[in-house]
Amino acid sequence: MRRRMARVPVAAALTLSLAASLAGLAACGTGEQRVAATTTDATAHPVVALGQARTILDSVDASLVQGAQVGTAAGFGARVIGPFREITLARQKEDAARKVRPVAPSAVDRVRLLVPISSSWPRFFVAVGSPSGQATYVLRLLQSPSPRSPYGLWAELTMPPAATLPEIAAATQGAALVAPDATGLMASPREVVAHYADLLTRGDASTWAKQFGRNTYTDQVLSTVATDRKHVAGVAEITSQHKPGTEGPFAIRTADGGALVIGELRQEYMVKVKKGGRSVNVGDAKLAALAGGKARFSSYFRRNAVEVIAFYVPPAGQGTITVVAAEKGDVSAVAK
Amino acid sequence: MPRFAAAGFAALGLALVGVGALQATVFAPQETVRSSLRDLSRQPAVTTAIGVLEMGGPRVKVTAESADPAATVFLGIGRAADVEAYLGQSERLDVVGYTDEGELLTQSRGAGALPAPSTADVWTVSVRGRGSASLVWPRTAGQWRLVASAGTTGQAPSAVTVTWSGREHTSSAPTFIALGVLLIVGGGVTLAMLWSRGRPGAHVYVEEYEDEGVRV
Repeated sequence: MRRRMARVPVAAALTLSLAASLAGLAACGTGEQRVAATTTDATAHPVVALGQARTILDSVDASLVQGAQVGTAAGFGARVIGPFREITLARQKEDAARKVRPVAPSAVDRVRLLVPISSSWPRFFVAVGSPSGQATYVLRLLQSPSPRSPYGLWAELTMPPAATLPEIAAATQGAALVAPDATGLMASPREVVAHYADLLTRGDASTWAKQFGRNTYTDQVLSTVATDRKHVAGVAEITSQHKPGTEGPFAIRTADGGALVIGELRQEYMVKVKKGGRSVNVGDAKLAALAGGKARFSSYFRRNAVEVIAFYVPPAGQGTITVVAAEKGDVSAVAK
Repeated sequence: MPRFAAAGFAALGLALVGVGALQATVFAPQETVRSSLRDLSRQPAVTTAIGVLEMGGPRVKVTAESADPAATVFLGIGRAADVEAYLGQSERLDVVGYTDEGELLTQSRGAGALPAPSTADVWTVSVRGRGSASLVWPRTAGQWRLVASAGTTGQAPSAVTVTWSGREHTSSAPTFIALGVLLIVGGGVTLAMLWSRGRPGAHVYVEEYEDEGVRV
């Protein structure tokens, strides 16, 4: 009797413990896993990661090669935009008119990236590199107008040999964007572009001449106009006007609290033949080709160029504004 | 009565060892979790909700296949805010979880066609493949979302498989087994002592002491 009674609690304990444990195990599996609804973090971040930038630049380079081979605007697709597209298409037109084989785009190696922090569009970043076989560096500005639009090459600015880039945060960290009307600088990004346009138009007579340090690009533009005026003195009059473009400026913060500003200018260069004057030769064969093959004009010659300039703008009261890189190209010409 | 309790403890110990063994073998958590979506023809692009890429383990592999072997299959992962800006209000199939049966749970969202994701640059990583594409993504700080599509528009591939791996598991099997062994040993020793004291010789020995009045 005592033996029989001993078996009952043992068996019961065993059964109960097994049942409880198996029930516990079964409860571990709920059948499905779902993520909880989460608010999207809209904090600004570097607009591109390193691998992402590499993919974008690969696509841009492929589009440049394809565009050069096809020889039409469509050939470049959406990867070539803005001033760079205008200049490239104008060169294609020149080459076609002169029956010259287009120069294949040279590969640009990748030295570093300048990446802004942002959470909105349009977005941009700058790839610094060196075209193969050249000692100079170029700044390639890539812009994406909207979340559904790819980054396209907007401008490719060449740095003069002596120019240096200001110190800017590493691409993995990203640099702060500077608003077009930002204060605390020698001039706001918008003002820098407007003041420089005035300097290129008026030369030393510009109110803003002292705001900018002397540089190769300014000297070249001003001296070209001065030389041309000498050549046509008595026959024609030359006016050269530079105005801020419609896009940009693009600006990011430098390590010293200044800004790297990249802005677009538009130049209209007009040569008007004086009444009773002789006809004038277009000295540059490329310009003549762009003007529809007209090598002489007796009324006027107008050329329109796009200029993209990169400036280092120091904090207010700390020196002058420096041109660190520039790109210029004629986009249209009319000879009459 | 003490014998019953000791036997009960030992039996409970046996049961715990058994449960521990089951947890370590039959009911052991899986090293990888694989879930799929199939027959997605005529569905919009597939996207993952925030947190899905990380929910099954620190490493995720996503594979997408198209019924048309010549179609370009696209997979891209980008910051959640950027991907949402790209998606806008367009129609898509959001993956929000998975079932134990290996199926991905989805929710339909938005309306209107989505432009082909390969034309946008919001992807931190992306791959394109003919007929199929595969992408591996390690757990990364921040919020991330994936988009899978096939063809020239933002349409879904015919199948999407998500495999998470590398999850560290905390199994309770060692605790069950250790506790069970303790109870078995404790119960067994107690039973042995009680059995030893219950033998006739032992009673005589005690009784002799008692008779002599030495001590109990």
